[in-house]
Amino acid sequence: MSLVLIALLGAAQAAVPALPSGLPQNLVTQTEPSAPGGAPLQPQPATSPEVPAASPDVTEGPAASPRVTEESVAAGPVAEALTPAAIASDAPLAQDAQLMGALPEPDPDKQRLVAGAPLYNPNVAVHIVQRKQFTERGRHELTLYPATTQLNGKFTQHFGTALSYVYHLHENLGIHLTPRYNWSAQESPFNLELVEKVRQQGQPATTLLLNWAATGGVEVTPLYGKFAIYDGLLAQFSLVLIGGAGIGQTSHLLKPVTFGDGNQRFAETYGDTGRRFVGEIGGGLRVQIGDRFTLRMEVRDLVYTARVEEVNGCNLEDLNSMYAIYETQLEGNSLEGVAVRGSCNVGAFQGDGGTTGENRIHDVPRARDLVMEPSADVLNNVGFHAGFSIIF
Amino acid sequence: MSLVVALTVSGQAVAAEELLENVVVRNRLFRVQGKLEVSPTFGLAPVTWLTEHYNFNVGAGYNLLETLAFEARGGYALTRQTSTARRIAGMFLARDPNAGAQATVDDFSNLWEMNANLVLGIRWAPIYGKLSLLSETPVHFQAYLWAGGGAANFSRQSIVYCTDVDRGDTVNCNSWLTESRMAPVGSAAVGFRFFTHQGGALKLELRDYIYSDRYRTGIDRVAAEQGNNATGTDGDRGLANIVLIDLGYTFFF
Repeated sequence: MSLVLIALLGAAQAAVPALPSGLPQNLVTQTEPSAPGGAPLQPQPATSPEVPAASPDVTEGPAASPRVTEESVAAGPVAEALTPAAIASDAPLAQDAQLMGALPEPDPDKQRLVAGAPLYNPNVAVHIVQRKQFTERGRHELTLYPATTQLNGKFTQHFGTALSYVYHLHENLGIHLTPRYNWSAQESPFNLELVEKVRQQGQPATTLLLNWAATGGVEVTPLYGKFAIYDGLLAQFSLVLIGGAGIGQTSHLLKPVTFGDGNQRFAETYGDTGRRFVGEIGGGLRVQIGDRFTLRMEVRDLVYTARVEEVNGCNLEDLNSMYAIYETQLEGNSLEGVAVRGSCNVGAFQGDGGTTGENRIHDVPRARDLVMEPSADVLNNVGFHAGFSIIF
Repeated sequence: MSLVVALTVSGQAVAAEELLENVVVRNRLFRVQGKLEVSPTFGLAPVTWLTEHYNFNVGAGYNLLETLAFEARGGYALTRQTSTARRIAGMFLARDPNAGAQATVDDFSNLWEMNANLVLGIRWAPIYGKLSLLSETPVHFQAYLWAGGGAANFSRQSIVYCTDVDRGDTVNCNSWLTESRMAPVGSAAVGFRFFTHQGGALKLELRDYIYSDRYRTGIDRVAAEQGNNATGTDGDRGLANIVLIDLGYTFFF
């Protein structure tokens, strides 16, 4: 008696796959073919010895779970059951006339049921994509993007590293916090070609560099799917859509790299152009590896306004004051006593410049040129992010 | 004893579920092996610098295997210079070399415009998958890599080499140096095709055309503006790329 109960328990476990608690049961129910009027399809009397007397119930509606019969589950060793051939020979046949009539493949041998689904009908909607093997709800996901690269670098080119934390509120909805740092933010080869060949460059607003940004927002996964690589490795993936907002730190090139005697390289200089509001939209693919790891490939667009009105906190009035002193002492390096606002960082324009090869005071006229004719633009920094996640 | 039986039954149930997962996803509803296909596509550049391309192509292919196919693609790209290129040209032209403003100049890279093009290649599609569209409709797709080569007709209009300048109240160039040539191209792509029915699939890919760049350096602008169209040194200057996003539809026969 206990054996029968245990066997029935096993069948029930097979009938209701080990779903995550956060998943609605109707995710695994089959919906095609359905019985007319939505009435449950009742199993027909078995006509084949292969079909068990207790044929699986195939019902329509969210409460129905696909069933695997005791016989199909218990038949043979596991290794045998893992081969398609074994299933094909042991699995029950779909004898239901209504069921058969609605299926595209009339050959009963190709309609053997496993877990209530015709095994060799690839388009049946059972278990193909609806059932997720791993739950997301209530879990945390930490993603490292070791290298991000700007895809639309017309006048600028950014390379960086990003980290993202996602808390999955629901299966398809999470909130994220994504800080990123661009360890290489410089003008693009195209802009440098412009400077070198025709002594032109993009307007200051279009050549604004993004040093770092931190955004937060939501992440939704509206599409879910699976794929097989060469019919071998099976993987699950989801389409991820991302939206958010945050802040970012910008800067602008003041002096490009220069070369002195003996081809000595002098580093470039940058001016701080302030923090900006940053909007973020993006999307990508998230491939599940086991229940704790994922690979992500995303394209994220950081949108920010780029009006250059201040450099190192100094506006045009401040820079004019500094420029007046600069003109009187081209060989000097002192801006002592200059009358500027408190937010103006005079110190950024002083000093010997270290590896830049010249005193920083020479950045004063460059910064002044940037803000003298303010330009405005809305920049889209579209970046490709590839990373891997740990889910916990 | 009861525990052993329970574990065995449970394990077999799980095994059956695993089998179903694997088998169902591996079954290909859309089989392409042995089929011919024709694919009209339209491509445009997601990011433009000096040139814009609108590439109309038709591809014809044969699917040798489910995962391997040969394809020939040919077509014509409508092209033009971008507003950025025209602005650069106008600003540079205003600098009069006869008045000592930059008497010599190097021409720009990546300025060739690809027109007629034909490439042959091999497509490798190791990934076949299904996704759930709006939680109801399963969409089957293939992901692929494409590589090949061919030839294309290129044309080029300089933005710094003007052979007939009108320096009146406004400065106009009546004749920029133009060149054209046939050149070999390499092409590589990564893409998806989403099956809509047994006879067709929607195609989306990112494609790169690679060609040898060639332009003049050391152009004598004064001589050029006097009508000399052979100043400077012409030569190969490395490789250039035309990256397009292609959208198309494949018909299977």
